[in-house]
Amino acid sequence: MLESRPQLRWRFNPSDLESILEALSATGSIHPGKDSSSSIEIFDSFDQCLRQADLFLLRQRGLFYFSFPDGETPPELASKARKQGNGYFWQDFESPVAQAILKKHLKLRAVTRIANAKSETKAFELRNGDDKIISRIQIETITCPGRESTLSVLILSPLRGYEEESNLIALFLDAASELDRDVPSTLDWVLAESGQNTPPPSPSQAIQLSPEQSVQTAVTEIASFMIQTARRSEDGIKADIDTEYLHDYRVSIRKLRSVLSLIKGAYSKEETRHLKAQFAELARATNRLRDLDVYLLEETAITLSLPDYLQPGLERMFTDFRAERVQELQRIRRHLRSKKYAATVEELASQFETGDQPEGKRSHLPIGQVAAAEILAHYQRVSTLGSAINDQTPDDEVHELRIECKKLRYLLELFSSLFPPKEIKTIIKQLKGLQNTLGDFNDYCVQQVALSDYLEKTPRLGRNTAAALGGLISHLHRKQVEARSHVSERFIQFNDSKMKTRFKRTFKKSRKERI
Amino acid sequence: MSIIACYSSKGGVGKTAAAVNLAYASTAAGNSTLLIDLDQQGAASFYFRIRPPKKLRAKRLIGKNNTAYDSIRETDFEALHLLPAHQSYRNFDALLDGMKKSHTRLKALIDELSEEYDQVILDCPPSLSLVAENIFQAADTLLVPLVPTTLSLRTYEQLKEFFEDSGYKRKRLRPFFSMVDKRKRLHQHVVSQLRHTEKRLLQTSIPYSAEVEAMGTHREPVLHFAPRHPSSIAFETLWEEVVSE
Repeated sequence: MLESRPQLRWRFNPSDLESILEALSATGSIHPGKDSSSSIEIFDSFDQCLRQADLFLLRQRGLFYFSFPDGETPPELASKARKQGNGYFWQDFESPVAQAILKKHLKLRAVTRIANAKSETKAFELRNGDDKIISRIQIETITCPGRESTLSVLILSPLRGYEEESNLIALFLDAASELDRDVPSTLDWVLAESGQNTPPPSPSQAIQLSPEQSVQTAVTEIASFMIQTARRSEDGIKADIDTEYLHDYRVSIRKLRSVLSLIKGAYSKEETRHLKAQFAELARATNRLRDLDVYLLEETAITLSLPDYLQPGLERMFTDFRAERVQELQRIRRHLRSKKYAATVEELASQFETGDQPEGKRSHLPIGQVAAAEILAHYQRVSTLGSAINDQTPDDEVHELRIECKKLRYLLELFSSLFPPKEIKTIIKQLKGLQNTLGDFNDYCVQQVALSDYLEKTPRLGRNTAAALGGLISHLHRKQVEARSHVSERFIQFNDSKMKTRFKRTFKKSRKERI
Repeated sequence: MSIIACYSSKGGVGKTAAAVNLAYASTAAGNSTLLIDLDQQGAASFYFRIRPPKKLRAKRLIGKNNTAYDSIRETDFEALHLLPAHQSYRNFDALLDGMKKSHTRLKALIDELSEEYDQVILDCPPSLSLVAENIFQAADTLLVPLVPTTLSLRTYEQLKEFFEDSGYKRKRLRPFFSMVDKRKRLHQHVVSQLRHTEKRLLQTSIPYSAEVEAMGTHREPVLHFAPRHPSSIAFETLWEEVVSE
């Protein structure tokens, strides 16, 4: 393959095009070539995970390409997407190489077109005395639909072996006041112009608290961010692009509810109760859809956990789930589009915007002190519960430990900006390990209940389905027992002596300092 | 990567026209192509409007510290590059004569240059000397244009004998008829005669045409300025026949 040749680029104001061309023709030998136009379509997930990895996924004439920051796309990565729909998952792409790259970054997310533009190119040739082309010039004009501004770029491409002659042209262009060597990359420009300059902020980036600010302002800040995040997910849920929109929506609302119950006294008792009830209702509306999403995401793994001859028995259940999901999605769409929903969310959001909520007992305390005290208290609770667990402990207490861990995790994440990042990172990492085991244990319990429920309530279940469900339930039970057997070991790994001092060091100090 | 040489020990039989148009056809088929002009007259370079760089001397081309890489020029057609010829090539034989490995110098040079290219095409000078032997060593296929005359056939027989005597594989020789004038009875006769006896003869013949001669005024391959002309179609077909094997 021929190496791609270096190109020189200048930006200019579209109104100067005539005078630039006139000046160029004074160098003697400029001939118009073929004009062309093409479209630029940029694809990414909602959280722009490809761009975060310095990767662009582009589409031209139905083919997808990757563009790496250092330039060209290896042609073997050109790939067709199989389905026509709202978004493309990694499985939808034809080439195995593209699948592998996308799988790594996208995971459960789908890509959609996040920006598009039109590129129009006028081509010119610069020739020498023998009428031989020494350089090609392209005048590229890029526009985004519905936007006023344009990016106009002059691109000089010297032909191999004619670099010296082309350098003279480059010097001439450098000297022209209308031309500027400082050119943004086309894709960056298109993204910025389409309002996609940065991915949606993550909580740890966006929520920056200071220890001295009051509890009420801090809680309001967090709640406000969470409600905005939830609202940003609504379109993706309605368009059914991927299941992560709903998941994000629910996580935001759950975090919002958690901050209200974990940092009590930010608002008056009555106000807190009212808010919690409102958000609980919003979350509840989406429970069933999320359950169905989880079952269907796990379809392959669940099916493969049964022996071959039992697997067909599960088809009926997944078909039912898929049908129910279609209806449930319709219901959620109606719910999200309803006037009642809009009014509720609007009212809740504006409450956090204005910031004149009724005061509670701790409204004016500094958040640094309160957050540190709450984190320590919840850590204490986790410690007590966890240390008491042995193989005979009833399951209820294990569930309680799981819930306490979750609360601790939310506190650590929501208030991470108040404490040393390195300590928080270590704590969260180790806590995650414990939570995974507890989460598995819980998932296996919940799934058994769901399957028994399906078994009981579904009319005219065939023998095959019943056998498959029975097999699955006992398989899940074994897994549950297995996960349960790891809990105390996992807890000891988490709560070693270093962890105890780490909590003391990180949160006792900050609590005292601020008292 | 494959190396095709357009070779004949006779001059004026359509070597350069074939080399230039086959190089163009190769590029059009999506191959990055390097055309190496080895003929001191530089006709191939002329057809692409390319002058040899001053630094490019025969000695520098095949000696130590060769300048060949820097002397490659991009033609007006994307992915078609050319290593132009220089007048000093007339001394090639004398130069090679005094060198070690004098038979494989060209092969070594091409190996060095060809990394970027899918196809290398050589336009060769008419000779049966050391330069020719270098070409025989380097090329995977030797396309030999034959003007359908008795004398031409005799020259081809001599080439076959030379191959035989020197131990080169004769199957690399692929003759084709060039500058065929269907109105001439002799041409018809010679063509049909060789069709019976030479199994390596390519099916495609290039007709005699004023349009091919007009390449000198257009300074472009005929395939570019008259793509639908019978000669252009013949070059295109010849290319397809050569690469289909």
